[in-house]
Amino acid sequence: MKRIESNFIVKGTRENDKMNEKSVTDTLARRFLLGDVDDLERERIERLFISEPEINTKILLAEDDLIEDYLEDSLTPSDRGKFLDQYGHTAAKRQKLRIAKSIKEYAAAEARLTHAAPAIATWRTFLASLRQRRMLFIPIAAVLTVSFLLAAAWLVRLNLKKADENNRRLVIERELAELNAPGVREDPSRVSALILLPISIRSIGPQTEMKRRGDIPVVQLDLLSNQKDKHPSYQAVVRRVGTNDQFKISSLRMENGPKGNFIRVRLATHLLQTGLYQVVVSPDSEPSANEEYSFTVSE
Amino acid sequence: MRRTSEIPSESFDHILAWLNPDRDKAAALYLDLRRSLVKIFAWNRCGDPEGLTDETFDRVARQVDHLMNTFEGNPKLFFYGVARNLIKEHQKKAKSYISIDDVDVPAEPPGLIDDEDDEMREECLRVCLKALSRDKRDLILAYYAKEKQPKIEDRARLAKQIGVSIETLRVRMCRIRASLEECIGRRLEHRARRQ
Repeated sequence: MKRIESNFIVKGTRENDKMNEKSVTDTLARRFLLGDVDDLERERIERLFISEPEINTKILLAEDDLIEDYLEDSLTPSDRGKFLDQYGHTAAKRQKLRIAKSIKEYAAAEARLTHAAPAIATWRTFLASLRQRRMLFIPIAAVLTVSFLLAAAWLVRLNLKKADENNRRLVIERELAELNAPGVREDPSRVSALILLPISIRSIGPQTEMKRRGDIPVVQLDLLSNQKDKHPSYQAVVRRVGTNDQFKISSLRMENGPKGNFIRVRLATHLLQTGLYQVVVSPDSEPSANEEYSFTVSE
Repeated sequence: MRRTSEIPSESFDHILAWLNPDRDKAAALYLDLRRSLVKIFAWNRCGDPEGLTDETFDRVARQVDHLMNTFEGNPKLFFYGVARNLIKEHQKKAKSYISIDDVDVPAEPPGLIDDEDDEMREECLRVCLKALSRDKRDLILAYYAKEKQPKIEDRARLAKQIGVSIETLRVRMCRIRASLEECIGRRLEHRARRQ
C-alpha cells in the first residue's frame, strides 16, 4: 500500500504544476459534480479542489447552485437524473439535501412573515396607539358624554319650561280675553276699578296706586284716551316694570264716558304682583299711535 | 458509519506540524482538508465519507514522521493520494458486491426528501439558527428567501446592501450554510443516538 501511494504522489507531484495552470470553469465544475467527466479529468479537478483554495471555493459554490436548482426543480430531466444518481446515493447526501431544503423553506416562510409584517405592524401600531390613548380617550369621552347628556337634559328642561310658559300665557290670555270680551259685565262687588290718565296728560301727577285684595278677583282699568280718532279695535300690553311679565289683550274698544273716551281693560287680580305696571294701548291698525299708562300695585 | 479515529495524539500533532508550523493555521488547514476529503469521498459515491476520511488520516499518521523529512510539495496532495487509493479500494468492493448481489440502485431513492422527521429537522434548524450571530442569521435567511429570477435580483440587492460583490456574498453564504448544516447534522445524529 505504501508503495502505491508513494508512486501516486510522485506522479501527482510531477504533473502538479502543469495541472494547476488549467482552471475549472463553472460549466466544468457542474459537469464534474454531476459525474459527467472521465476519470482523468475527475482526478485533476479533485487535486485542484484539495490544493487550490480558489478552485475549492468555486466547486463548493457550484455545488450550492446545483442543489438549489434541484430543490427549485430547475434542472433538465437529464441533469436531474444525474444529480439523483450522485446526491441520492448515500444517507449522508440525502440528509444534506433535506437540510438544504429545510433551510430554503424556513427562509421563504420567514420572508413571507416579514413581508406581511409591515401591514401587521401598522395595524398593531394603530391598535397600540389606541390602547395608549385610551387613558386620555376615556375621560374625554366620559366628559363629552356627560356634557351631552346634561345639554340634552337642559334643552329638554328648557323646552318644557317654554312649553309651560306658553301654556301659562295661553291660559292667562284666554282668561284675559274672556274678561275683556265685548258685552261681559262683571258684578261690581267683584271688581276694583281704576281710572288712569295717559302719562302725557298726567304729567307729573301722583302715581295711581291699587291695593291688591284677594277677595276682589278683577281689576278694572279705565284708560282715558286723548286721541280724537276712533279705531275699530285696540290692543293693550300690560307689563310689570323691571320684569318680562307682560300680557297682551286684544279686541278692545273705545268707549264714551262722562270723563271722555276711554278703553276698558280688565285684569285678573291674581295675575298682579306688587310693583309698578306699565300699560301701552294702541289701535290694531296703527301700533305707533299708542298711549302709555302706569299704576302701582301694593299689598 | 463514522468511527473513532485511531490516530495517537502524538501523531496527530505531527500531522498538524507537517501541514503548517503555526499550530492555529495548521488546525484550520486540517479542518479544511478534512471537509474536502469528505466531499471527495462523497462525490465518488463512497458509502461512508466520514469514516474513509478518518481512515485516510490514520494511514498518513502511520507514515507522518518519515514524510515530514522526505516529502516535497503540498502535503494535502499526499492526503489526496491516500484518499484516491481508498476510493479505488471502495469501488472494487462495490463492484464485487453488485456482481454478487445484482443490486440495482434506484434512479430516485424512495422518500428522498420525506423519510426523515421534518419537525425534528426544523427544530434542529431553529436551534442552530439561534446559535448563529444575528447578522449571519438575517443574512442567510434573506439569501435563501427567494427562488429562481427573484432570487437573483434579491441576492444582487443584498450584496449591494452589505457592500460586497455577489461572489463574496456567495462564498460567505456557502460557509454559513456549511456550518449550519454541520450543526443540524450533529444535532440530528445526537437525537438519533438518544432514541
